[in-house]
Amino acid sequence: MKKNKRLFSKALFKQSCKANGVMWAIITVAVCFMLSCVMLISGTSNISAVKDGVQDTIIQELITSEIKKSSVNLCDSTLKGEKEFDNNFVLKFNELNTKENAEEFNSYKNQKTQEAYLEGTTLVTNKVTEKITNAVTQRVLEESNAIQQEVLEAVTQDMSSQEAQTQIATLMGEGKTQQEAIEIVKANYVLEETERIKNNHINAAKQDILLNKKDQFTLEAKEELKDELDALNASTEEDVTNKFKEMYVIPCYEYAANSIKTLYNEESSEYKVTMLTINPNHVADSEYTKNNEVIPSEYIEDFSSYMLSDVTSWEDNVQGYTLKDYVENSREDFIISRASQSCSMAVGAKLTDASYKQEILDILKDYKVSEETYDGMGFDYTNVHKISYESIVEFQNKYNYEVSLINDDIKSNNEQYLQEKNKIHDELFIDVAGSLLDKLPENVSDGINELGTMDLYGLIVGSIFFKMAGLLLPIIYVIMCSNSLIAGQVDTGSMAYILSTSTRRKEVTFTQALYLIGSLFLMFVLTTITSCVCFAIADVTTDLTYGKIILINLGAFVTLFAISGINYLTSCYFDRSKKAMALGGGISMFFLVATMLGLFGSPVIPSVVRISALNNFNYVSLISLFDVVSILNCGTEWIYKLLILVAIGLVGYLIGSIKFQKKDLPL
Amino acid sequence: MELKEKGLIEIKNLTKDYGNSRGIFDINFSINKGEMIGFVGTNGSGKTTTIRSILGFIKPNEGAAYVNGMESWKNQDKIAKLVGYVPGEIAFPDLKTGVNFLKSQAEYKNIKDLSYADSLIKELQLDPKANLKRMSKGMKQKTALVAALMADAPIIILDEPTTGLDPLMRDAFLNIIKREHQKGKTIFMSSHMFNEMEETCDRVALVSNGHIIDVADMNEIRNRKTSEFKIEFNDKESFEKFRNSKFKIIRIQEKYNQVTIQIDKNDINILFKDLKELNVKFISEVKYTLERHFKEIMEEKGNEKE
Repeated sequence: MKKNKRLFSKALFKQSCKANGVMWAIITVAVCFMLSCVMLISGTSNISAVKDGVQDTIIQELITSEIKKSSVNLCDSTLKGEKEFDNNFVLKFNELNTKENAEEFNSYKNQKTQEAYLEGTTLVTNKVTEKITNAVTQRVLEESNAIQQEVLEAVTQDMSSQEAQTQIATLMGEGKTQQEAIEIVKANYVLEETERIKNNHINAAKQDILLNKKDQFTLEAKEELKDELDALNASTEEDVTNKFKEMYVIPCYEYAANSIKTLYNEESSEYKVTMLTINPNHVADSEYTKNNEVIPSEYIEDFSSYMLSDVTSWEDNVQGYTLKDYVENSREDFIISRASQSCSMAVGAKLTDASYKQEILDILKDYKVSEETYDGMGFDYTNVHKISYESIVEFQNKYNYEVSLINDDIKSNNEQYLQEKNKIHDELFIDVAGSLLDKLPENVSDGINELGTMDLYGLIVGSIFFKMAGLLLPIIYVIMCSNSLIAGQVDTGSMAYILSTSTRRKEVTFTQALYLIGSLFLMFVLTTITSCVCFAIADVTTDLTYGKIILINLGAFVTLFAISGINYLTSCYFDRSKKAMALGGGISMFFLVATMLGLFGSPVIPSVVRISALNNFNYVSLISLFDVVSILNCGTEWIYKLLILVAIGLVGYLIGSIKFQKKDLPL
Repeated sequence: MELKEKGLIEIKNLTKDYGNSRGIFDINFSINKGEMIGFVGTNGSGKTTTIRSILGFIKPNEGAAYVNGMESWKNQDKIAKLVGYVPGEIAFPDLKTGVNFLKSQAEYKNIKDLSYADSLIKELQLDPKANLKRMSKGMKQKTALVAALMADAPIIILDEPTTGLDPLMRDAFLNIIKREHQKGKTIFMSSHMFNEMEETCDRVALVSNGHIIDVADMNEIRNRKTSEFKIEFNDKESFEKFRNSKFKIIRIQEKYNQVTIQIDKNDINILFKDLKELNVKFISEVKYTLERHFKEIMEEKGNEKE
């Protein structure tokens, strides 16, 4: 007898074709129909417009988010800088605030005050004297008639005196007429008496005015000299202030400002923004005016009163620490508001800076985002300023809220409280760490890079159709067909008609496996043709090519080959088709469902809408080895993954065949 | 192909243990060419397991079944060429009509000439164009029989082929099987009905709980030298007279004036002569059936155990 070495049974193959042909045809037509619907509908509709819209929104979202993050980050650095400044200022001030310095300052101040006082007094005195003189002159002028009368009376009296008669006689002896002599004597008397009476009046007036009008005149003088006196006082005060500045403020200021240089690199944006915030010597005024912002008040305006109070406290022989207390306890709100103002301004200015904007545009150009589109996204100064400011305020509010939740026990312990605050800060800060303003274009680029791989058409056709929707029906076919090829026939007993006809079990397993693989292969030859035809018809911009389409179809076929291997194994293993279907089908369906859930967590979905927890499903699904993304990105990873699938399929078929050949058949 | 005359089918120490004392245990049996063998036993006694072993569908735990000298399990395909098999449970492949099925079977068996199958179809009054799924049990059985016989294989194995058939159909069935037997085919069929076995088989094996209890040679049963008759008399006088005669009486029922006697077949004339003088109500032969044979054996075995 010749040895039967055939592996293929034509009759069995025909029988399998007849038994499963209709199911195969229906499923193939359905799959091809679905495929063409998906490819044509998503191809002819304005999917790319949708995609661009989505992309623009995502880019906008991405930039906004980066602005927010870097604003918060920048503000944090600024706050650090401000605190450094304040602390060093206090440090230096407490160092300078010695008793000697205070004495020096006080003596300077006293001297200056005295000088000013003296000068002021002199001015007033002079003025008053002038006023009195004027008043006396005025009075005498007013009394001139009375004076004349008095003079007349006195002269008349004088003329009748012995002395006058003697003088007249003498003059007449010298040859004058009596008339002339009387006239001369009288004139002398008039002069004499006028002088005497006038002086009497002047003295009387002086006494009267000094007695009654001096105070009034002093007030009047002060009033009249107000401006001069004020100027005098002001200049004195200025001198004192300058002395104070010279002695305390300037050294502290310089020391504190230098400390920022040790904290931040002078070229870094942190340093620049800190300087912008503190605005020493108004160096940054131009920045504020350039952006139409109000120039902020002097950064250490509040300090002077505390400093002065600390300096004057030496008068009581104690060192004052009011400035330290103020800086440590009451300055938080001020520095935050300063930092948020200056940072949001800086961010706004940076984003609208021409060269920086060009940098962003250069990156966006790769993603087909034009300058118009970018401008349309509304990243102008006002908007960016607003976004930045709001994000900083939001972060601070969040931080404050969290801090307010710290319980009182911890609050009472200063060190612990500080630790807890730092912890909260660090936790909140984790999100934004690394988002530096200078790195913003880079980060946006990274973000879009990920997005750039989102070829929506490729995603729909590759990841959604061929990994899920398009696999569903073929998987159902595989479950039903693999069952009906072996387990079903063993279960009903119809396998007896095959095995009792000198068809070897090996032939049965080989032929049935060949039928299952062959029918799947044919199915995917048809889907390949369908997808190529549809791709030719569909007018769509995508990274897909005919080669990739063929590879995706091949991948789907290999995936189903692996799944069919599993189903074939269960079909060969169990005598009951119930069990075979439950296990094989259950596993297959689990893979499919896991893939569906996993899609929402997989990297093909833009990170904005991704649910990363669902990504775990991808690790438990065999279908994940069908790496559509790698095929679409022209990678090579899909090759070894498909080889694993091929191996799984082969192992399934092999073990199934061996099991079927070795087991008892209830026929 | 040369077929062995003696021991065409041989079962040696065949054991297939399914646990719970189910299965077959240490079965030894040999079937010669041209024999028609019956295999009787209650449901679950191990008939089907034995048949599956012969066909090589299951691997025995111990021992082996041989067909034409070939071990079944290892030479399933070669054995299949010699055997036409009608399974106990008829389930056809997923094909549309009987014609499709028979054609597909012909293809499996490499049969080009379907005339024999056609004649069988006619004889069985089978409508092969009927949809396989809508066939009645009888039609399915017929179709299965045609499929088993069409290759004209030298050995036919039938697993309870007549179960579920109406009596007429059963006779037609058995007739065809008998005719195949007459053509010289070796037939092995199982059944749980004794009467159809004794009509057709050369030898019948009784299986119970996985063991062969006894193998009965039907020739011996059919051609027993003695016959048994049950005779009832109209009156007591005749009854008493016959009772005292020389015949070997095996059973007496005085109430009905009945006796059952065992008599050598050659002595029947003497019996009738004697009975002529007596007032006989009726006389009937008590047949020695297979069923009775096996019952007696079972009782014997039961007694032995006690």
